[in-house]
Formats: sequence, structure tokens, C-alpha cells
Amino acid sequence: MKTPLLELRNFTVLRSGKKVVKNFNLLLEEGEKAVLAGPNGVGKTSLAEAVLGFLPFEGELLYRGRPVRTKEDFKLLRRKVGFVFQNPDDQLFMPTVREELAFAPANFGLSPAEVNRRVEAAAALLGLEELLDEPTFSLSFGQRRLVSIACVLTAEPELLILDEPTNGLDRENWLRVARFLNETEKTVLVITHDRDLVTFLGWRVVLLSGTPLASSWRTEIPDPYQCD
Amino acid sequence: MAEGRGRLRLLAFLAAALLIYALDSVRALMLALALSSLLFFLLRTPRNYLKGLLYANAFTLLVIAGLLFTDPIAHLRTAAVIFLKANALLLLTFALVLPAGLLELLRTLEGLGLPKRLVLLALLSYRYLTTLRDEYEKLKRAAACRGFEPSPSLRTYRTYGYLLGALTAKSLLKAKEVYKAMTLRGLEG
Ligand SMILES: Nc1ncnc2c1ncn2[C@@H]1O[C@H](COP(=O)(O)OP(=O)(O)OP(=O)(O)O)[C@@H](O)[C@H]1O
Ligand SMILES: [Mg+2]
Repeated sequence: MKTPLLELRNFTVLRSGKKVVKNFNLLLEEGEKAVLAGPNGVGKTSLAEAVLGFLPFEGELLYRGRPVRTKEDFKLLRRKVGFVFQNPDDQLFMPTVREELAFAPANFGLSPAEVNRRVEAAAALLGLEELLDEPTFSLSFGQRRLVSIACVLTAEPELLILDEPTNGLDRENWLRVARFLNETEKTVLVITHDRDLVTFLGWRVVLLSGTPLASSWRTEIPDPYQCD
Repeated sequence: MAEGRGRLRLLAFLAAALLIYALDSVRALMLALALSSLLFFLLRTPRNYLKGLLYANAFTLLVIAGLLFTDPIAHLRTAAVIFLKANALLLLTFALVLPAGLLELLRTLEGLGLPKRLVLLALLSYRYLTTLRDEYEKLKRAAACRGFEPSPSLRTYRTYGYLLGALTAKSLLKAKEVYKAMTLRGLEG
């Protein structure tokens, strides 16, 4: 059997000592795409943050079959895993859109030409060409959402984790993002409440449950959510 | 009972702090430092506060280094005074004020007759500072997610500059939003 790209075994996430996710298991094969769903406050964002090494956890986190534990392990992991934050305002901090998109590849020490190529490509993909030289803070919420996705794409991660990526997007941009998600060759995990998106993508849905809320939530959710 | 003790501690602290602040003789300050240290250990102050002492001293030493660099002979005494005073005051603060926690401290101050408004203001600033710190942590994570690793380089300093800039811009924007929200809910002024 092939080694999965990401595996969580008995994964328990701690937030100031409290267990916000309990004994969660997940297998993501390379190239596989999945949706992570669950009600507000069930711990989806916390789960993603723990995978990136920002919250303590119990259990095992394996990337390509290797356990990820130490600070160094996580540094390496973050090079391979791109994370789009739930709130773009927590993610963006560079003065202009161009610099924002260039931040990751420039940190990787790539040549200016390569950095530029990636910036242009990501901008074209998400329709941001016109905004490249705009100050990040002058953008609308939806525009910032697109920038927050683009600035992760320029890192060219193997695995992409997106936390509510379609939140606040108009129809055109919604389609842009949804199409990209469907067409990309990357391994993708999308955290979302967006039922249209779940239907559009038609991917496997992983339900994060384990809290009392989850069971009641499950019954009122239409078809796409029940296919796990 | 506990309240009385808190008040006593605070008054003792204020008196001692004023005294130390006024002292100018190296010998007296050495004694003050010794007494503060003694108090620190006698009151079984959590040892991890010593780390704070270390950080604060990094700053003090920077100032002293600056002084000694310009004119070591003339400034030697001043440097010693600064160092002793700073540490005596810090140890005293750690021993008498910090363990009670900020909330406790504010309550005690209120008990001592500090206006409620001022206490509220202090509380709000504290809340605000905590939020600011959380925001900063989030941005630092965002940078780490995209391959940022601090190193002694121009790029690192520039990045920190941008992070702080973003933090400022965001808090200003947020303050505006909060103001709007408050006016919308009928606050006047
Ligand atoms: N910064 C924080 N400090 C303390 N507790 C938090 C913090 N953020 C979230 N929590 C708690 O952790 C739990 C999980 O929150 P999390 O944000 O991971 O949920 P979520 O599934 O992403 O929710 P949503 O769908 O609303 O985004 C919640 O019970 C919440 O109260
Ligand atoms: Mg969330």
C-alpha cells in the first residue's frame, strides 16, 4: 500500500489545556481531495492549527509516513503544507498585494525571476492582476480573501489546507476558487460550511464530530454531508 | 482578610519603591537590592519571574553600555546607580505586586480609593494590550506559515517592521470599527 501524504492517528488537540478535538483520525493520500465539515466551534480551525504546529496535540501526526513532532519537523512541514487562514486579516501583513504574494517564495530564497513568475501566475489564477500594486489594507474583504489564497499558492505547497476559502466571495470569484480547487493536482483539504461548494466539488466529506453538538448537527444536514 | 493583606503589600511596596527611587548612594542601593532579594525569596515568589528580570536587565544593560561607551569614568557611578535601582525595584515589584495578579491589584487600588473610572480604564488598556499581543502572535504565525524564519538579517528586520506596521494599521482600523459600532448602538460623545 502507498504511504499516505497526511495521517492523523488518535489526534487530540489541546487549547489552553482543554481538549477541543478528541481522538480524530484522518488519512489523506497524495493527490486526494477532501472536505472537512462540522458545526461552529467543533474544532476544525484548531485541528488545522495543530497540524501546522501552532497548538499542542496528543496522538500522532504523520507526513509521508514520518512522525512530525519537533519544532524542526514542523518547520519542514510548513514548507510543504500551505494554510489559508479562516480570516484573511490574520494572514496578510505586507504593504502591497505584490509583496504579499512574493513573501513566501522570497523567504525560500528563490531567484527574483522565479518569485515574479509565481506572483504573476497566482495573480492571474485568482484575477488579481489589476490589484498587484494596491495596498493590501485598501482592499475589500472578498479581495483580501483572494489575496490570502494567492499568497499561499505562490509557496507551491504539496498539501493545501483552506479554512472557509469561499467565505465572502461573489459568484464570479466563488467559481474561480471552486474551479481551481477542482482542477489543481495538489492534495487539498477544504474546511467549509458552504453547502454549494461541497456539492460543486463532490469530494469525500470528513465530519469532525465527537462533541455533543455534532450528532444533532448531522441529522439536519442534506445529502453531501452524509457520504463519509 | 486577604483584602487587607493585599492592601498592606501594596502600601509596603509603594513606600519602599518611593524610598528606593529617592536613594542616590551606591551603598544604600546595594542594601536595598539585598533587602529586595531577601523579600523575593522569603515570600516564595515564583522563580519563573526571574526570567522577566533577565529580560528587563537586557534593557538596563543596554542603557548602561550606552552610558559607559560615551564616557566610562564619568558615568560609572550613574551606571551603578541605574543598575542597582532598576533591579531593586524589579525584585520588589515581583515580590509584592505581580503575584496578586493584575485584577487583584486593580481591586486593591480601588479599595484604596482610586476612582472607579481609572480602574476601568486600566482594565480596558490591559484587555487591549492582550488583544494586541494575540493579534501579533497570529501575524507571526502567518509569517511562519510562509517560510519566515527570524535570522540576523536585513530581511528579518524588514519583516518585523511590516508585521508591526500591519499590527498598527489593523488596530487603528479596528478602533474605528469599534467606535462606529458603539455610536450605532447609541453611544454619544
Ligand atoms: N483563541 C482561542 N482561545 C481559546 N479558545 C478558543 C480560541 N479559538 C477557539 N477556541 C475554542 O476552541 C473550540 C474550537 O474552535 P475552532 O475555532 O477550532 O472551531 P471551528 O470548528 O473552526 O469553528 P467555526 O466553524 O466557527 O470556524 C471552540 O470551543 C472555541 O471556544
Ligand atoms: Mg474555524
